[in-house]
This record gives sequence, structure tokens and C-alpha cells, in this order.
Amino acid sequence: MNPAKVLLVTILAGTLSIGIALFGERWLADQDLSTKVARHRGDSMNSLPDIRLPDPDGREVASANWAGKVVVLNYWATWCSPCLREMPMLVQLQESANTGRLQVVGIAIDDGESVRQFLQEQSVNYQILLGNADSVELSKRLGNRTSGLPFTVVFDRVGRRIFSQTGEISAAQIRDRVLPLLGIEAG
Amino acid sequence: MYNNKRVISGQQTWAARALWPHPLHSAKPIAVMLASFLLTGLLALSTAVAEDEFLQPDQAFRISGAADGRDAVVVSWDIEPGYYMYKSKFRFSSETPGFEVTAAQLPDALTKNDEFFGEVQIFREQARARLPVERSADAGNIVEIEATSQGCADAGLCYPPQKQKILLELPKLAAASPSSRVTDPALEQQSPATPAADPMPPQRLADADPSPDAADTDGAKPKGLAALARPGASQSLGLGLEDDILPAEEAFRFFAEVAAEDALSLSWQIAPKTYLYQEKIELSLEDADGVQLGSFELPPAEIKADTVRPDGSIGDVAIYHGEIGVSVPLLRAVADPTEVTLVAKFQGCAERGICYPPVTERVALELPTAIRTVALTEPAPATKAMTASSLPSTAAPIATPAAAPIARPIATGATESGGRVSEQDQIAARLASTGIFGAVAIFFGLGLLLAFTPCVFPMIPILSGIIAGQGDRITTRKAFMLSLAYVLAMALTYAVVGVIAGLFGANLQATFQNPWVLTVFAAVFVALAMSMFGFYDLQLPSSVQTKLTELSNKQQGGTLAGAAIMGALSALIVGPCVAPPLMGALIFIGQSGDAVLGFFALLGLGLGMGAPLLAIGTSAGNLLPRAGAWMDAVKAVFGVLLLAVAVLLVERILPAAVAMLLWGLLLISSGVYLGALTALDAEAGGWRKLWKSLGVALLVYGTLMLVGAAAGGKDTLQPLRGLTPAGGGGAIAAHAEFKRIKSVDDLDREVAAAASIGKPVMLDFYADWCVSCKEMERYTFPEPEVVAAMERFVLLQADVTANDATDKALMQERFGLPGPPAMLFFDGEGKELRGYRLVGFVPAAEFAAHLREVAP
Repeated sequence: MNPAKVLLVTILAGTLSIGIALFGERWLADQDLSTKVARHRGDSMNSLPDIRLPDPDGREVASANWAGKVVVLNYWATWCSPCLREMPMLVQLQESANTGRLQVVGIAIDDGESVRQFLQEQSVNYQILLGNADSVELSKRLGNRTSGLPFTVVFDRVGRRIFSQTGEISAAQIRDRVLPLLGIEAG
Repeated sequence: MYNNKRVISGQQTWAARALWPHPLHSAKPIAVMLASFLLTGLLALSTAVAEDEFLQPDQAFRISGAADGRDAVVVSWDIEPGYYMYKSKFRFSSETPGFEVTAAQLPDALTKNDEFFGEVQIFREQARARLPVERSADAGNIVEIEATSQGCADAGLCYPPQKQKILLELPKLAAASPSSRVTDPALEQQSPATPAADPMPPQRLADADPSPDAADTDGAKPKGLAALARPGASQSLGLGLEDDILPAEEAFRFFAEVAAEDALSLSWQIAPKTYLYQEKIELSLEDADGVQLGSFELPPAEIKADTVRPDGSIGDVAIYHGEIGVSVPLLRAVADPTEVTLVAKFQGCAERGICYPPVTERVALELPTAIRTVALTEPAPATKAMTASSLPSTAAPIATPAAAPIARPIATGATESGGRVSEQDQIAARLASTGIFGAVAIFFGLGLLLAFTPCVFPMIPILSGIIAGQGDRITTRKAFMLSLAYVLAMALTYAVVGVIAGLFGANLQATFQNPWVLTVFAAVFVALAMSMFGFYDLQLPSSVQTKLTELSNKQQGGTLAGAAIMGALSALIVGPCVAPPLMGALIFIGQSGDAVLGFFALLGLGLGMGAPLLAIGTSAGNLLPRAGAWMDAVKAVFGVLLLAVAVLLVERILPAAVAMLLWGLLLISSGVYLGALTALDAEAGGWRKLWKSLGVALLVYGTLMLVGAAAGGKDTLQPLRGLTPAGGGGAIAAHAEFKRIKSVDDLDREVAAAASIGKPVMLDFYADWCVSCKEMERYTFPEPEVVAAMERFVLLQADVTANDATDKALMQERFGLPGPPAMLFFDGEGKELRGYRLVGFVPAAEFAAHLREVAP
């Protein structure tokens, strides 16, 4: 046994421990999706961000309106058929849940005219907003790595991000992940 | 005592074995150590990061291309199984002047019956488009094609339109054909990318491998370049709109040059039909030691009425078209040449009413030697002087409070972000904010204290003998090195355990808010404390201890490796004196959830424990005291510390009177044990008198606590406050009165009432067990400037000491706060200003400034 080997072992042990500590921190930080600016826990992408977007009639709606409610953010577009396919489920969710307790918000990554035309033909009982390029960035920070649509994020009553789903959401997921937040037993 | 005997006999075995060196079996323990470290590493790193089921668009649809004859190119996509592309959504255009792409030819496609859009034509597996290309005589051979495409995944995801660019080389035109100059309205719309200004494409051409057989004859397949797709730069989202939107980096081309050693020359080339906002241009420097931006002026801007602003509203804005240039002076403190990174942020829109996301461009610049240097003042964001024709910023009132929090980190410095999140986190935050060194120092002290406990301290001389091994007398230096190896190995082992505790605890953060969990942990700490007081022993099972001891025995004394391994093992052989404090430390690290803190804190602990050993190793051991009965007192100290932590944990959920009762009892018993009530002998020594006086002090303070608790006092720091109405009342009356509210309805009513008279509202959450709230009441609220600032507000206070359902509805459900302290602000219209929330103690001056910001 020479000192070199001992030194190597010590260094290896030290590097491993430090590495574990650092990677663990980073992994946990990634899990939190924290951004550089938002170090304060209230601003991290773990919670409902401050959204101000116009509705199809041009009135601006802010996310503060949904304080205290379970929020289901759904990014969609009129040219995206999986989005249109899952819409009836979201309509039904909004209908079955009391508006005071749950708010489904559909952010359309689309041009206003198409959305207005769509809404004329298809009535939707939840809040529709017109997204912009910032909305796409926001959806990426909330977990939409591919920037694809549809993308759904669910926040609980105090604004904590519970889960997100890239792609079409299924009735089972709504039943198992969203309804419990309202205190309704799954199944 | 019992254990000491056993250990001592174990040492005799060690000493005996040391006399007969035996073959080294160190390889096995090393392997064990490495394996355990690796396993720990794997455990920690075995993250179940959810794999995204869907691919990135440029992986699902992989573009490639080649020339097809002299006047056409083929662009094709490899489509991942389970994905498809829409035939009708393909668009192509040429990005190179002199080349024009005419109608693309796409093969027959499959038909998909979409439930919403009817029959759509799609491609699977491969999509191949043939594009005829017309070029002018002097156009060269390389063409950049931009392809727009759109596709979806069968599993239920659709991608927005994707723009991808590829460079393709066409064979040379056979002869100087009299092809007319191609003038294409589409090309005119391209931003004027002069080769000087835009070095990239020419560089590409230089890099590109010119086809050796330039004189291609017909029939020979021309060598095509490997298509140089630039997915990063040229992926862009079309937002589902028509496709003549340029991506941001093409609409706004930004250039930065070093004009002089103290000036930068910046310019923007803005594509036609797009414009930049004057107010959104921001410049700053990164990696700039000793360099700052001086004040600069942006050129005069056009005022456009009724345009879309970045925040979506419509109004008058100052914008730029075409090309603009800015000269930015630099302030340099150091004359040496240096490199800086310029960060330019800007944002603009297209005329059609679409706004681009903000662009951040970073340019690395090399600055030559400075001729003049200036002393730099405190770094501030570069000031920009708007010229006279620019508008004053009449941003809508809603925008300002929201914008303020983002500006605040610059203005108010780091104080806002310094861990003042919640009561619990304050302890961890204080530890973190005193720096890692602070934590190391505290734990080092604890470790040192641990070394003086009865089961560790007597072993130290024996240990040093074993580490040194038998054989010739070794030098002091070698003895020190061996002891160092032992101590380092021990400290590192502790550190790893600390990391594991931290990582484990990080996942359980939320559970530590639960009162029942807190109670259980407090009970655990009490149990640990009882062990330290000698009621029973807590340690590793003897079988494990024996095994580890045997392993340790096998090491060869006198070698670094042996010493290190012995050290690592000794960390794991936790005896009864060390186990409870170690567990306490790990629980503390666990509930802080900070793995880095865990590493350094436990490292400090291990180093502290090993410090006396090092001292002996360097024959400074003469400084160490002799073992004696005082070591039991050290154990008792740890017991008291553990009890104190237990009380701290439950203090937050108990009524103030009970908390004070517990503290009082703890202090009184500590006092008694220190000899407060024992008569002093006539010839008692100095130490004895000191301990007794300390004991008496603790006794008195503890008694005051009991009295205060009995009298219904609420303040653990000033137990008798409630009993002196004059003094106490005076202190309280000095600060403004809060109106008490209880429920959400109360709050809404009061806020509405305040809004009707246009007054802003401050809502303070208070609880008897919230130390920061009391500090605010004592140090901040009575201050005159705070009182003056608070006059402008309607003051509401919600007392959530009871933490009942109504309190929860108000605090957690309505505002999402875990607990007090918290101060919320509402503007004159009754809307909450979320960005102005305070969740911790704020000194008077800062608080007054904060209030003035909310209600100027």
C-alpha cells in the first residue's frame, strides 16, 4: 500500500461525495424547474405563474382571478386535432366541478380569428385565452419540452404545480390526478 | 463503563496483533468501501426522471437534402414511426439571393381520416419533395433552403409549424446561359444580408468542400454537400399562422463591434415590416471585471399610434425601423486588455400584429488596452437617455406592480432574496446565510465537544498508538500524517452520511410542516437526550460493532492506507455517546433538505471529533486535559442540547404558555445540575463557582419563564411582558393599531371598504408562537417612520395562533402561505399586490421604504 493509492482512494471518496451532493442538488433543482430569476419559492415554475392574456374578445384576464381554485391550464390550437379531441373531456370536467373550486383555462397558440370562428361553432364553458410567443416559452418552463400541443398543467388550490402532461390527456388521468385535488374520491 | 471495558479488551487484541504483522487484506476493505460509495452514488443518482414520451420535432422529423440535377434539389424527411407530416403544410423558400424555388413536387400521400378536419393527406416514414430551382447567372452554387413543415404524433400530440434550413450545393451551370437576373418579390423582402455584415454564410461557403470535379458532365451525379441543417438556429414556431413570419434572429440582426478601447458600436438591422421597441432595448455586461457601460443615447424613434405593445395592450409606442446604430461608451477601471460579454436584450413585433418574444443576444468582445481608466462606482444597470422625441412611459397602471418585482433585484440588492421564507427555514437559512464556513465552524465545535465524551476521549491516546503501529520510532511528522489520514477518512465518511441525510430530507420537506411529524421528531430527540443522560444506551448493535472492529483490527498500523480505513470504519462504529448527537445532527440536516450543507456540516463534525487525535499526534497532546468524571458532564450537555432542539421543534405548534413552561423546566433543571442549589464548599475552586453562578442564572431565567407562563405571557424572549401593563402597554400603543379580522369574509369586507375610499390595505398574519412576528411588533412597528408610513394604510391583522379551519381557509387556501409571518398588501382598488408580499422579519428602515413603495 503506497501513499499514492491511499490518496487516490481519499480523493475518489471525496469526489464521489461532493459529486453526489452537487448532482443531487442539481437534480432536485431541475425537479423544481427553478429559473435563474425566480429564486424566491413563490416565483419558481413550481407554482402558478402570473399570466395576463386577452380573451377572444380582447379583454385581458389575469391569473390572479383563479386564486384559491384548482387550475387546469391547457395549451391548444384549432389546427391540432388531439387538442380538439380532448376538449369535450375538459368541458365535462369544468361542468362537473364547481367554478368556484376549479377553473379550466385553454390558452390558444393560434391567431385570434381562427379561435373566434372555432368558438362560434363549438361552445366551450371554460376560459379561453389567446396566447402569444411568451406563452410558448412559459409552457416550456412548465415542462413542455417539445413545445408540442396539447400540453396540460394542473395546479392545486394554493397554486402549486401538481403535474403536467404533454400530449392528449385521458379521462383516467383526469379522474386520478385532478379530481382528488377537489377532494373527490377517484373512481 | 461497561462498553469501555469491552473496547479496551478489543484494543489489547489490537495491540497484540500489531506486534505480529500479518498479510495485508486491505484490498478487500477498499473494495468494500468503493463499492459502498458507488452504491450510494448510484442510489442518489438513480433518478426517476420521467422520460418524455414524445420526441423533439427535429428528432421525429429528420431533414436532409441533396441536389437533383443542375436545377433542382430534393429535400426529404425521415419520419419516426408513430409520427406523420401533413402534405398540405409544406412550404419552401430560398434564403439565398439569386436563387428562386418554384412549386415543390410532392409524391402521393396517404390519406388519414381525421375526425375534425376530414380527409387529410399525410406522409409516414419518409417525405420527399423535389424543388425546381431557378438561379441567376452570378448566383453561385450554394443555396440555402428554408422548409416549413408540420406534423403530429399518433399518440396525440401536434407540433407547431417547424422551420428548418439546409444548405445545398448545386453543380455549376454548364455555360454562361443568358438567364436573366431573377428578381423575386419574396427576395426583396429578405433583410439585406451583405456579406460584410453577416459573416456566417460566406464562412460556411469557405468551409464547404468545393466539389473537386467542378466541370461536371451530364450524367455524373453531382457531389452534394452533406446538408448542413442548423436545427438550433433555424427551428422556429410559426404559431399556426401564415408562413411569411421571419424568425426573430432574422427579423432583427444584431451586431456589436469594439469601435475604440472605450466605446462599442452596436447596430440592429431590422427586416422590412418589422420593428423594434425603443423602451425594450437593454444592454448589460457579463464577465466584465473593471468594465462598465457608460450612459448612452438611443437614436430618435418613430412614434407609432395604436400599435400592439409587448404586453398586449394597444397604444402609442416608440419604435425603430430599418437600421439603427448606437455608440456605447465604456468605463474601464483597469488598463489591461480584457474580454467582456455584451448582453443585449430587445424585443419587437411584425407589422401584422404579432410580437416576438424578447431576444437576448450575447456577444463576446475583446477590448484592447485602455488609454484612460476611471474609478468605477457601485455597479448599476446602464442608464439610457431617451431622446426628446420618445414617449414618457405611460404604461397601464396594472403593469407597474407586476413589473416592479422584476426590477427589484437590481434596486434593492440581495436582501429580498435572502432566505426569509418561513420560520422553519429561517434556522436553516441562517445557517446557510452565515455561509458554509459558519456551518462547518458550528459543527466543528460540536464535534470537538463530542470528542470529550467518556467513550471517545479515553481512547484517543490508545488510538494514536495503534495508528502509529509497531516498529521503529516514527517521526512526529509521520505520526501526524497517519493521524491526518485517519481523521480525514472519518470526516469524509460522516460527510457522505450527511449528504444522504440531506437528499433524503429534501424529498420530505413538506412532511416537516405537519404537526404530528414534528411531535414525533421531538419525541425522538427526547429519547436521544435520555440516552445521553445515561438512562439507557443507544448504539449500533453489538454484532455490527464487533464485525467492524474485527475489520479494523485487520488493518496494518503504520501505513496510510491502514490508518485511513480505520478512520472510515471508526465513523461507522457509533458508540453510545456519539450515536444520539449524530442522529440529531442527521435529522437536523434532513429537515433542512440541503445536501451540500449536510456534506460540509458533517465534515466539520468529523474534523472536530478528530482534532484531539491530531493534537496528540503532534505531541501537542500535552494540552489536552486528563480524562475524568467531567466527561459525563459533557454527555449531559449534549443531552440538554437535544432537549432544546426538541422544544424548538414543537414550540411552533404549542400555545405560548406551554412552550414557556417547557423552556422554564429545561432551564431550571440545567441550573440545578450545574449546582445552583448545591451549597458551595468553603474551598470550592474557581471553576466550581463559575458553574454555580451560571446555574443560578439559568435557574432564575427558568423561573421567570414559569411565572410568565402561569401569568399567561406570550413572549418567550420577554416572559414577564404581559405582567407590566404600563410598560408593555406603552410599548404597544406606540405603534399603529391593527384591526383584527378572522375569516375570509371579514377580509373581503374590509378590503372592499378600503377600496371604496381608495386606501391601500396591509394585512398582517400574526401568531403567538411566531418569533418573527413578535420581533416585528417590538422592533419595527413602533418606529416613528414606520408608524408614519403605516398611516396611509388600512391595517388588518389576522391572528392565526389557533390555526383552526377559518385560519387555514384564510391563510393557506386563499393566499397559499404555509404560516406566519406574512404581510400582504392591497392597492387602492382592493387588488392584492402579490409582488410586495413579505414573509419574514424586516427591519424598520427597510419596512418603511417598502411601505412607501407600495403607497407612494
